[in-house]
Amino acid sequence: MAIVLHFLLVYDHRKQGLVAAPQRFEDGTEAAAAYAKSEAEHRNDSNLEIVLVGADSLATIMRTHGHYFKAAEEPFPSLLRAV
Amino acid sequence: MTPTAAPYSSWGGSRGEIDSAGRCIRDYWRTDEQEIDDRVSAAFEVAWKYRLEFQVPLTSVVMGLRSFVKSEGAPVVVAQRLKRMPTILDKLTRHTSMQLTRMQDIGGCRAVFPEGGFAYIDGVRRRMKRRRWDIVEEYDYIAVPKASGYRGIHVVVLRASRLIEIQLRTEAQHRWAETVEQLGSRSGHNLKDGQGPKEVLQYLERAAYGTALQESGQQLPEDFLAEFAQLAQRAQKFLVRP
Repeated sequence: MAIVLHFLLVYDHRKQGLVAAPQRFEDGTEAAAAYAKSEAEHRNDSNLEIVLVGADSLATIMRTHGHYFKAAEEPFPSLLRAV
Repeated sequence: MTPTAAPYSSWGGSRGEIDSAGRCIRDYWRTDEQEIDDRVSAAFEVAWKYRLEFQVPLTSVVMGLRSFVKSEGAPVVVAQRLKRMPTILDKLTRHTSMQLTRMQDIGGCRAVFPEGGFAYIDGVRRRMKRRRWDIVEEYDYIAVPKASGYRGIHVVVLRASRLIEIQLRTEAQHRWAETVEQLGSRSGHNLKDGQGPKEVLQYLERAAYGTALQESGQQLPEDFLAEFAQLAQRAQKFLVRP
């Protein structure tokens, strides 16, 4: 098992969601090469955000970079509750 | 015999070559030009190769960070990311004197601690110093938040000749930052870098302040709540994608 799993995410700002399931890599160099290739392919589409993240699991990424995975929700609910 | 300096990159590219590539693609980025010529294409190749050089030192820092977080007894929520090329280019465009090789966050990682877990953050920072990590800069955005309201601790370390940024945040600080990302995506504004309608930026700054008060267990003052409710309402119309 790799020390760090790498996930290539392609997020569409128009749809507010990932365009496909995260692509998983165990090899960091291979992941970075795929990252550069994907950035080059989508260079002219500013609505697509491509990012390479890594952690011990996808579950961790979903906590540290959760906005790529969640649907839009009410911002700052605890403050709004206090109002 | 004169000692020769170690090459700056694994492929033999010099610092000057990398910075020149950064300037070349920044100039391309500033224009509306869609087509890229051979020179720009070669510059992109250099920038991508340079970014790849961060992958190994970044993973090494992440492994150490994980170990420190675990030793502090906190849940290990640690991740890494290689900076996106458009974000690198935006940064080079916004800070025109910045060189690609001086950028501190091409390789970045983040640890998220439980709400109110400031002691964990202090503990991890102490461990970095005790283990003699090569700390280049420390930014205490908890004591002095960014104008946007952002809070967290950033530590920049040098690992294998590469600068790596470490972000240490509590869950509440992280939730705020994630919300800003989400609202930025929804509205089409680069809110996290302080770009966007002033009504929204003010609303986010006050939200960060209120979140910090709540996290430290303080009562939210009545005048703050009244102001926040107003700002939230005013910001709404800007928070939709055009």
